[in-house]
Amino acid sequence: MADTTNNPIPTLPAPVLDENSGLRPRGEVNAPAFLELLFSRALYRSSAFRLGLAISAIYLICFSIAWGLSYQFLQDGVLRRVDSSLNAHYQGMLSVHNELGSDAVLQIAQSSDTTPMGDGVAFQIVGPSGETIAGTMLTETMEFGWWTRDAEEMRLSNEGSVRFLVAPLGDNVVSLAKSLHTADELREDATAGFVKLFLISMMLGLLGSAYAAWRTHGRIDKITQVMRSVAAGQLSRRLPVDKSGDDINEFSTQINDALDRLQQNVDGLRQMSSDMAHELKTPLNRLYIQIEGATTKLYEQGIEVEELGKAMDEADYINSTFQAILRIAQIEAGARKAAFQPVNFIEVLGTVAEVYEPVVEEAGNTLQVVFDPRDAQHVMGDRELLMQVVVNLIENAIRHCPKGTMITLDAGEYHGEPWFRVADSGPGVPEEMREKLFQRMFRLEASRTTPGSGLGMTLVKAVADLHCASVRLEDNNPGLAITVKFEEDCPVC
Amino acid sequence: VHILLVEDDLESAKYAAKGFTEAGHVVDVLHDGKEGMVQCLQTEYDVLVVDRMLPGMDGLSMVKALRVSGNKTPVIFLTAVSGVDDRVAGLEAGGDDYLTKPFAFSELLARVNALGRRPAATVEVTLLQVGDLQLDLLQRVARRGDTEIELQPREFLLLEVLMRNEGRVVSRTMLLEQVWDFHFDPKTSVVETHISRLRSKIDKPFDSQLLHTVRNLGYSLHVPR
Repeated sequence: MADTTNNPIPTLPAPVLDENSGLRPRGEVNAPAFLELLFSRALYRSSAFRLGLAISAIYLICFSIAWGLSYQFLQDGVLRRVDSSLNAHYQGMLSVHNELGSDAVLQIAQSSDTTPMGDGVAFQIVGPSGETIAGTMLTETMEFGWWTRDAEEMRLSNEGSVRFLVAPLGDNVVSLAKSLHTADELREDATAGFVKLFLISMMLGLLGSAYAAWRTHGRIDKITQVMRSVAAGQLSRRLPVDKSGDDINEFSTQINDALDRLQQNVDGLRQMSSDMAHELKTPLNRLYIQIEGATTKLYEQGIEVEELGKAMDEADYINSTFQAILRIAQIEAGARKAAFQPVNFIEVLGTVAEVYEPVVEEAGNTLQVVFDPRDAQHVMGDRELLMQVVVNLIENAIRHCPKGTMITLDAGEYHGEPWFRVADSGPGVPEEMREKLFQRMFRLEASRTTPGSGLGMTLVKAVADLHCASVRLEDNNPGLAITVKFEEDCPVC
Repeated sequence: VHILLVEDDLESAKYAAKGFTEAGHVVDVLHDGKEGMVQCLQTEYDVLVVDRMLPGMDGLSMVKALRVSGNKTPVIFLTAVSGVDDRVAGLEAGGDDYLTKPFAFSELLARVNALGRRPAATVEVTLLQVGDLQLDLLQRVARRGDTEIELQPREFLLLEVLMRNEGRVVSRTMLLEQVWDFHFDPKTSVVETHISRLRSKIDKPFDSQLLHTVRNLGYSLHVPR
């Protein structure tokens, strides 16, 4: 509580809102280090990272298809060469057979090496009744044509697959074979190469995406930070723009232009309301002093004119409505947010309760304080505005409730979110009318006869919005309960 | 009390000047901030009443410049704008009080009286006395004659403000600002209720009445005349 003993006009301390002080506005974030980002969830939320991953995936798919196709070409090439070599041998045998007879073929065959499956071509000649005439390579006969068989399956000494050509040679059948190990080696090498390249590309893609995410993350964080402080009323802040001319720069430039216009509008609005205040208040002031002058003059002559008193009341009413509109406009512009300080609203409630306790009693009602006045609940805010909110709520209860009403003041904390409540046991407000209470100049039919401008609840709402607080109107069974709750997660704070 | 009124609205200025003269003060009227500044440097005043919006030099800059030059004359700002920020700016510039338009002249007069006769701040008063009513600021005790009066802290402050302004009218708004730190107009009779409570403690049980209601103006604490 301000000590006003020696200082009749309490001066508010200068607003402290230093970035280094403990009172940093909520949500202020610094760009994380690259490694920090790499292991954080923020990485997976980053659109740049997701885009990078998508591009990497597309690249890897294309790479796999290209590799598959070239592998196929290579395979086919090797097979064609093996086939043409087998065919050349067969043609050789065939021409020997045709020119010199089958004995010549057998002679050549018996003198050549038929078993080892090196780089050369092995063969076997089987007679019409199935007996092996030359060569020992095969243990079973195949149909005429081209075959690829596994060497092991054929009980051959070497590994890998073997290519066969089975064809007629006069009355006999000749089987020619050549190892496909060159093709096998090629496939193994190519597969190993492919896996390595694939893994390296994937790693690079991941790292690249993370790097892109980190770059944009830093810039977007900066943008978020600036926009938060703009929302908090620092309209002069602007987004950083460099010379790179990329899309984020373009976007930042557009936002900066919009902020320029916003600032001009708000400045214009402020100027206008202060001009309007000046232009309207000067004549209002003259009206005041004239009514006052007339009253005094007549009073000195012993005459009291009731109409003059009423005229003064009307002038007062015009003034207070006008004042309230200006104040709401000022609050809604968010200008006061820059001067926010930690406020113990329990203390505010306590002060208001103390001031209003006799007033409530005088009106024939009871004021019940449920919270412990020694408690503390701090919120970042404007003490005077919060005080006015509590006063407005209590005064509403006093003015709109009949004698014998119980007015309850309560406060507390729910899941880290501080709240306070002003409840009464009066006639209450029908549910469908509750939202309308926040509208400017709205008054319930029943309360048209009581004085008031219909701006009290609008002001309550405006102040609550400024503090990121919600205002809930509920049934108090009977009566009305109004709860103001300060939200923990507030995009603006 | 010698007053300088710097106000650009001629009619308000004329009326206020007349009111001050009738109340027994000497008043000079100017309509321009620069002229006001020059005048202040040449003549010694007891109170300055300065409008925030002035041609030539605005009221805020004028008072700032005066304070820089070492002039300590009490200043009341008059203003059309009434936000907290405006009030704080006014007080920071070196203003002593702040009055929002429109105001009743009696309100301005009450404030000028309070400022113009403010005792020198060098001697710290610890005991206030009006008639047989005593307020001990150190022991936080109120006494009337031999009877000790029990007061709530806020009632004590209310009585203190009234006693410090003995014989002068203290307006409702002044009490709201100084006792309750309210800078807005409550719709209910906050001041009246608290005054009536205080009255029932310091006046009702005793023969003579010290706390007087001044019609349409406010309250005044003094020995019956």
